[in-house]
Amino acid sequence: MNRIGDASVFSPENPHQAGESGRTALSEIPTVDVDQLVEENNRLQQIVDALPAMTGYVDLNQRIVFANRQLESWYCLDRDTLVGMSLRDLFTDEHYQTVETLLEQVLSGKEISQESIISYPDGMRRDVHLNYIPDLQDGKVPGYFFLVRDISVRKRAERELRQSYEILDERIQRATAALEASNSELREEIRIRRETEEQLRANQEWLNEALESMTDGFLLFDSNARLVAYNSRVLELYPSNRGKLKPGISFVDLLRFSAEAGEVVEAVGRVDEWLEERMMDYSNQTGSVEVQLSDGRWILATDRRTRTGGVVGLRTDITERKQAEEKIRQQQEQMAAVLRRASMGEMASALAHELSQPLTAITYYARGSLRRLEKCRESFPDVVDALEKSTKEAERAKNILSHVGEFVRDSIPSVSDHDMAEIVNAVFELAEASLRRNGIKWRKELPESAVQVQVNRIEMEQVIFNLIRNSIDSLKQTPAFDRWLTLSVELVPQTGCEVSVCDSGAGVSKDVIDKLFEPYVTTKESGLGMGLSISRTIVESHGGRLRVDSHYHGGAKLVFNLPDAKTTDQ
Amino acid sequence: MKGIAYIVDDDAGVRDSVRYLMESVGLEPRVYASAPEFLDEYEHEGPACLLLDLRMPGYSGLETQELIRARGIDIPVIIMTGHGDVPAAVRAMKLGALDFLEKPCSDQALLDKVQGAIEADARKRSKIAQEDKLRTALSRLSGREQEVMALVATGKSNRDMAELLGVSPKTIETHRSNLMRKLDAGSVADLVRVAIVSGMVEGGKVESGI
Repeated sequence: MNRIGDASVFSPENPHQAGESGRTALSEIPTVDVDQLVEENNRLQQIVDALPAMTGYVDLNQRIVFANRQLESWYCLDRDTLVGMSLRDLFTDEHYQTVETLLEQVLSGKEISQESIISYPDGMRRDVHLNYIPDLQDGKVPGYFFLVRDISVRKRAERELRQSYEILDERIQRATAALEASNSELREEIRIRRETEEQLRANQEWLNEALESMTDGFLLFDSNARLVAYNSRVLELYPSNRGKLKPGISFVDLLRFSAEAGEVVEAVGRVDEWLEERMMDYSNQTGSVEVQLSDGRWILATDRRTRTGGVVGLRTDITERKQAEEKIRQQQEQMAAVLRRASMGEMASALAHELSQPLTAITYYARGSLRRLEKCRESFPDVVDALEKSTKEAERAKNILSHVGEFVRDSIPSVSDHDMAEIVNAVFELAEASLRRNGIKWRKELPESAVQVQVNRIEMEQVIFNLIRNSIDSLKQTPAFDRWLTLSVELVPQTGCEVSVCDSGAGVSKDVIDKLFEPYVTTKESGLGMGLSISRTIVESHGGRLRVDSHYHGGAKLVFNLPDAKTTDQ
Repeated sequence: MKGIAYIVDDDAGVRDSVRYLMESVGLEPRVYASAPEFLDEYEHEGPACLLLDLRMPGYSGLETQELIRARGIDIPVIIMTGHGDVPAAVRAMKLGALDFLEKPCSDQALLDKVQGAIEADARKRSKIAQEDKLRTALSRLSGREQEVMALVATGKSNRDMAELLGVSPKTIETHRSNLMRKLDAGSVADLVRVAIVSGMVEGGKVESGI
């Protein structure tokens, strides 16, 4: 621009005042050759024409004073036509309106540098950079230079760039959106996965908790008899499995550890045989096997096949049950022994009693006869002799019998102090299972304070047990809804301790009642008929009496009493 | 000593042999198979005793004893117990049995106990009879005669009695001879004894008041 500024030699007043001021100016430079000036001007014109921009000078009245070639070609007018032409005429309305404000501004001394899009007469619509530079002279603006550069290429490039940016951006946005979508899909998946895992873990925990809270040992084996799951109770039952109980271990190995550690009583000294037997049970699905451990405990091992071919093993500690069973078995054995001894004694004493009666009769007949012969002994010496001998023989037989009796009595065990209510309770415990099994409802009526009696406990238990058993046998013939039994202990002033067993069975018929306590009398289809006879003998050996309460009609009521009982109350 | 021996035993052989034995010494045996049979037929007759087997079906010896007591039958009871059955014997005695016998027992022991019981019963019966007779005789005395008798028994003289009762000694004398005759008393000592036996006086002191 400065260069162009330098061209003030041909500017501004020159075109307008060429006549006077031009001359005046030229005359002020007398040394300058006119040709040289023209030459200079032409050169300038050539330079300006060579500029790749439209440039020129416009005066205060918007008339073109100077224009370069670019201007000619854009407006399709030659320079002669253009110079002196008003912009108002040159521009289309649209064009003029676009720059009108700018033109006013530049004429007021403000330099304009602005881009715009303008349609030119040569048919091109161009992106242009408008540059209006006011020709400031002593604070006045007689006109302005303009430089309009075609920036279409740059603009297009810019636009294209922007467009491609936009495309890229859109793509990026699209890609981002797609990415986000798949991202959130992934996130959702992760979330679901996490939830599922959480659920699974919770299930697993719940399952573990359930397994751990089991009182039984739990083992789950797959179809190859390999351990899949277990609970820690197994280790408590089989301490030898500690450190070995892990998923994957085989059933037979676990058994072997126990057997070799000497934990299994049955396997001591015969591990392989036992393993074989045990595996047979396992594969045959025998159900449950009772295993005795060397520390005294009993385990019920139950192995059941699952639908998927695995095996669920439960290990239950049945020590208490076994001990209770053992206790009951021992008590029953003891009772059986008492029964055997008592029935032997009973038979012996029954025999002694039955024989002593006829022997007594023989003696009395003989002695009665001897007394009748008192006054005539001499007439029948042989008869008297024979009668005397027969009484002696009867005497001898009676002595033998009394020895038997003494022998039986000697075998009767000693007595000691007991609480009758406590004895009744103990017997009841033994009988309870049988009562339950037969659907019999029961009631116990026991005094609040202890009833002290002097008895042989086992014999007393035998009597009460026998009475209860009789009732149960009778009740089995009774309709199931009407089976009940009452067991009572009572302290009665005249008779002492009264124990009664009362049932709702068929009762005792009149024709049997008199013979009920004799040996070999029974109303049952099976049984020797010794029970009540023995019971009576036992009760009587304790100074009491066993009887049927004939006033009772709802069934049978058997009562026995022990005279020398006292309450420990106070 | 004659008397009735009641025998309750469920064993027919024993029952009959005991009867046979009793007859051989002149006793009058009456045998029963059970307590109810005995109770149905029993009548209060001459001196008697009851031989009771402890161990019987139905009513036992002890239960029979209770029944006898409940009916107010007064008869000495001998209980027959099994050998060595001391508790049963003790209970029988507590229930008022006179004696007990362990089975088997010799005929002599049996007869001794039975005769002893019958004699005791006879004594008891004669005593009761005497007392009854006296009571009847006493009831026949007039009020004044009873007063005089009570005073005689305490050793008062005729004069004292006449003064106490406000009558003449002669009247007292008449009362005395009348009541002596009515009571069949031969002496004052007899009279005193009657007064004591009948319960009119106790320890020789006058009971009836003046």
